[in-house]
Amino acid sequence: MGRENFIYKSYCELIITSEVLDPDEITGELGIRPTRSFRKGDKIISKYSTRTGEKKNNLWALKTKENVSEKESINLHIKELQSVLENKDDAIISYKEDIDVEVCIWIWIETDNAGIGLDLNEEEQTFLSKISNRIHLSVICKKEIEDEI
Amino acid sequence: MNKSTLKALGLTKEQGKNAIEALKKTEGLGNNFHGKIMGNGDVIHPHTGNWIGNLFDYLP
Repeated sequence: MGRENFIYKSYCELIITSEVLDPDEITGELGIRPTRSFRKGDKIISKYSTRTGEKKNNLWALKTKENVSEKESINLHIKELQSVLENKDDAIISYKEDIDVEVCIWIWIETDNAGIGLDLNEEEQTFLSKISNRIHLSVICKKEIEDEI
Repeated sequence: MNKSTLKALGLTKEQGKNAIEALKKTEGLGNNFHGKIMGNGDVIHPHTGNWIGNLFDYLP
């Protein structure tokens, strides 16, 4: 039986990339273990290609808990990031201001709706702007959303 | 992705776009990254010629 309302599966990822800043250094400074990370030169392999490659940069990423909801909102993810990064502002800002480092907030939303509308208040905008150089929004529209996470 | 590339790969435009988004997020690539897509789904860096990955690994 089909659902009456549209579903939104979402998360945010704080992604720090750099050719010089090592992921372990970020982990040590922030006191937070990343949800994923890799180093420049790490092997890239594919199930579908005979070619192999190497990562072009270091990456340290922290992902919020995936949420499946009928509400088209990312506010809880911003709250989670605010909570986890509390008192870590100085370190994050120093990365953001480093010319060799990029700090990106990647917002990922999957939905069975044809479009979405998001609203961020001033406090949320200020927080995201304070901790990142870039915000990327990926909206993935699908026929069905799996609500098992 | 253009129609001929999608057709060669056997992907819908939604599948193609979603796979590119997932690849870019995984690798932390900027929005200005526009890789060259080969007939088997391999994505090649347009300037360096380096292999970045294969789109089929990123299909949902």
